[in-house]
Amino acid sequence: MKRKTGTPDILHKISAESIHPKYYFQSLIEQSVSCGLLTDRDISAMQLELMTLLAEQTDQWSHGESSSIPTEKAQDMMASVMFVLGVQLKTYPTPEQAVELLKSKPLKSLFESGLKLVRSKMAISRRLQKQIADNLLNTPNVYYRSTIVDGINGFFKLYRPQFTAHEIHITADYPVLAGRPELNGIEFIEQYLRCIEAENAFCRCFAAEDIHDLLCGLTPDYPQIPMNLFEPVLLSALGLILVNRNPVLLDLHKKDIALLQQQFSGQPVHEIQDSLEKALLVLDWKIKLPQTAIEYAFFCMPGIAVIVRNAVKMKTLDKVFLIPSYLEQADTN
Amino acid sequence: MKKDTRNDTNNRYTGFALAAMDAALAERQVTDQILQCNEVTEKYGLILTEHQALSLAQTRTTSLKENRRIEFGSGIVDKLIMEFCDSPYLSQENYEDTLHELISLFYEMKNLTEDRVSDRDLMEFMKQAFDNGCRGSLELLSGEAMRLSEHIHCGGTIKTFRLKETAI
Repeated sequence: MKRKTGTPDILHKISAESIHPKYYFQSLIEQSVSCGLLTDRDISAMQLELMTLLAEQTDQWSHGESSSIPTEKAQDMMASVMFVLGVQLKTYPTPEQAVELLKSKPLKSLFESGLKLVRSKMAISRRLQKQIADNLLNTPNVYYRSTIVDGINGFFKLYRPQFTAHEIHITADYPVLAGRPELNGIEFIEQYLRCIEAENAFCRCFAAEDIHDLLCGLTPDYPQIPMNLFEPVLLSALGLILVNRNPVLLDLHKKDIALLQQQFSGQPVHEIQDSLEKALLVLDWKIKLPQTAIEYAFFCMPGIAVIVRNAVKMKTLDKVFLIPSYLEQADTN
Repeated sequence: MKKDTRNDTNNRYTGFALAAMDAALAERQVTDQILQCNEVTEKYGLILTEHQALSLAQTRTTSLKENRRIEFGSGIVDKLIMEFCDSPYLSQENYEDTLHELISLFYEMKNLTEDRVSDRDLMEFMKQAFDNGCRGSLELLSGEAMRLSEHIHCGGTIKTFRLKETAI
């Protein structure tokens, strides 16, 4: 429900933006207490339930052989329990409904449902990873394949949703354009893979050799750099659309960059974004982009527009709209 | 939202829940469990007063804190008492003091053996060492316990550890 700035929303006491997606359970509790949806009595009851849940978890962890565990381990397991509860609570349409469930349902039952959901997300992520790996962009960039295949495989080997559901385990070095997901555990992996799926699907619309030549235009060392591959490919294609050229070969020339500099010069960010979005629609019309790729590109546009605006100001547009290395050499010669 | 705030939120609610749990493990409950052991131990001439039982419950709490451990349920003090009550080296005179030391040593050993030894096995080890090689000496028992922890660190198990016939 849209509301005017400053007008209190009487239907939604908790603003969804105020709840952190990484620490959903804890953040929801905090907000609920602040706006009176949960009382101290509710919190005390919940803490006792959490304690019981944690006791059961540690009993399972030690196979019933130890009555005590290190505090750090207990904190870790508590973080895991809260993460799983958060996963379940996120499925409810509004934070207020999630709070109602917290008050009316035993935490144990929410936890069990959450664990089922975590396992389901694992299965979905495995399938998604396989799909991506089977259609992976052919690139010499070491971080691309090693993260998407080896890194994610490593995650599934180490991930124990029962006791450490919040852990990510891997560094996920390959940077996606949408930014590192502000999430934990399997939620991070799922979101991360969805970004990669979209980026990979977009890049696969272009020839691997053309992408290689394009990225060499930035630096011949790009195979050893943990850099995002999607952004330069996207911008190259959009740049070609904006100068009314065929986008397929990703072959912007120096003179095209000069035209783009003229075109964008003095434009505010929202106008640049508007131009880029229109170019994206034309690109889709020309080469039929996968739906995931279009949606993802639109999602990334505000950030891209800022990058372009800054490059225009600094007159470094050739570092954003790359010229493939063979064309650079030709221009030099 | 600032990153720091979110980390604080995570720690605030994790820590708060754990603190509530720690406090909830009422020393009264532990004390009562310890006193119940008198029904069995009195046939060995070993009795604990309520004051002594409370003191042992407090030693348990302190030991857990010092060793950064958390315990659910009533814990192991009553089990430790049941394990050691038939020791020839326990008398009414040294009963309470020995139990204080055994409780502290137990939780220390859980950490030193990296939780790789079950409560049951650790108590059995302590009893066997105390009654045999250590001949009732807590100092020697402590030494044997260190040997066990080294054995575990080197990849051994409680099953493959050889107690010294005499720990002197």
